[in-house]
Amino acid sequence: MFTDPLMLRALAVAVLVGAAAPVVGTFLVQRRLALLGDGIGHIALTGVALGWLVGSWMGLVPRDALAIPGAVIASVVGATAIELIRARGRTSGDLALALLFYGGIASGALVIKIAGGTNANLVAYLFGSISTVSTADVVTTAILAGLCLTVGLTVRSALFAVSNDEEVASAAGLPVRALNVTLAALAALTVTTAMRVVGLLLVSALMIVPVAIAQLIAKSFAGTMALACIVAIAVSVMGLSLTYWYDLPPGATIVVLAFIGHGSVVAIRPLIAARRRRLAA
Amino acid sequence: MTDQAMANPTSAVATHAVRVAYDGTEVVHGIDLDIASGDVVALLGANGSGKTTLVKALLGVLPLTAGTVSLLGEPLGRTVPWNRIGYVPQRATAATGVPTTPLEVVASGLLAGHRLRLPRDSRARSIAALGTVGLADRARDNVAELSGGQQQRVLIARALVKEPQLLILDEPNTGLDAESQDALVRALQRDTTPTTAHAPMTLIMVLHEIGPYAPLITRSVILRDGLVAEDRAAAPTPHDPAHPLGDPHHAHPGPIPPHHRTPDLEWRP
Repeated sequence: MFTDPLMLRALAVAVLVGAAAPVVGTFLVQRRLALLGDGIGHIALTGVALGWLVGSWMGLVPRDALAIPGAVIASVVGATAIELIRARGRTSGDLALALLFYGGIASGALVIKIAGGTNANLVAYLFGSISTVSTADVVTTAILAGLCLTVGLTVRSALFAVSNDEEVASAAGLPVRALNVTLAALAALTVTTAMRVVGLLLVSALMIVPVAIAQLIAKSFAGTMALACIVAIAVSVMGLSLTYWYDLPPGATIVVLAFIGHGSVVAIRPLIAARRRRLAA
Repeated sequence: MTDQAMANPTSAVATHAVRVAYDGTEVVHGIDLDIASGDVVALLGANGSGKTTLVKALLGVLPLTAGTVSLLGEPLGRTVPWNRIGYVPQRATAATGVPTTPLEVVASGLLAGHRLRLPRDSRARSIAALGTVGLADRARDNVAELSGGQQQRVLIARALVKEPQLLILDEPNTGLDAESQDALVRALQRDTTPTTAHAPMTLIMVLHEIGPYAPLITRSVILRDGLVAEDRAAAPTPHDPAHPLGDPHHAHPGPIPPHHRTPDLEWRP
């Protein structure tokens, strides 16, 4: 399978996305905003449809050439809007997310029809299409994933401070709003990066489930983040490899593997804890 | 500028006609305070009198609807030396959705103002601050596994790690047992005592009752319905009918003589 250029491109994308997604995911779980990625994913769908619409007006070939830029713009704008609405405290977090879910899906389905497409055209984005990645896709993914990793790790301490205790961060004169918007924008970039691998409906799973696994084992924030990245890369590569031999949908396979991993760790965790106690005694 | 809040450059905190609203309702109705450097202020008052709201507004956590605030000689904003100001909120837990060590929580206290990355010596300074609250040996545990009192001590260490010139504690007794309280009093006493090495720390404590803090306090400000009802030197004395907040269970022991002061903090027996 390592001689197949298509498979190599897909693996490259899977590794990049696996490394980037849990970095933002860890901050989202820390803030108890684990569903934010899902909300952004739904907005990104509208972005895909808008990109398609603009592409067909301009007569571009293929017509979805602007789908990813459309998704990036729509999700960054949407994520920033959610953050500003949340900060004003006018709408509760879960209500704001619910509005995004429904608004995003409905607008996406409506706009794709206006653009001359059908809902079937959206399916590749909803469930992922990693098996059809081009070299250009690999480059785009590498840039987006690199951007997420660089920004996420450079201001990691400040994002930690704000996500850990927003009130104290504010009382320390930190630029809380700018940092919150940065995190929301990073989440949006991650969603659009991971869209190709697992699809918009499962995008948040790749950000959140590896963190859910890692926080069962790790004791520190840094340890959780590092372990979550390793888990995400491992399940992405394993899931994709399985689809090389078996006719399985890649995105769903990757996410199901992550869930099996979570179940396994929950099952063996009492054993690990007992061993730790014995070693400590 | 003839602003009263800017009048005294040696003030640690100066407010002028400060009004603050909380959820659209005005809670603080115009407060003027001038807290001198080195003062230890007890901010007292019944529930809902505006103590916590005032403190959050002083620190820029809540916006002012009117008035001005200056901290350590600078108007509230980017020019305030935020790295010299510590704050311990009223909070029961230091845990979040992801496992975190006390070391990570305390180190985050070193970020302030424009400093968005940890200094090189952050680890050593954080361990030292955890030592001050007697938790150095728990530095690498999961903070969620610590007791409520220990988590409160982690939050205090996060404020102490920057060696603040101005420290604001909101109800520091939440979850602290008597022994931890006494040790906190000794640590604060050490930091608010002037020495040749450093200027004394200014301390503002939101308190429900004076309790063991009485010997430290140099000034009491009592709020009632969002206004300063009383402002006097030293702690309210017990049995004083004018000061129902004076705690009758703790006799005022007066300042501890210097030779009785414990030089280093011991949280454990």
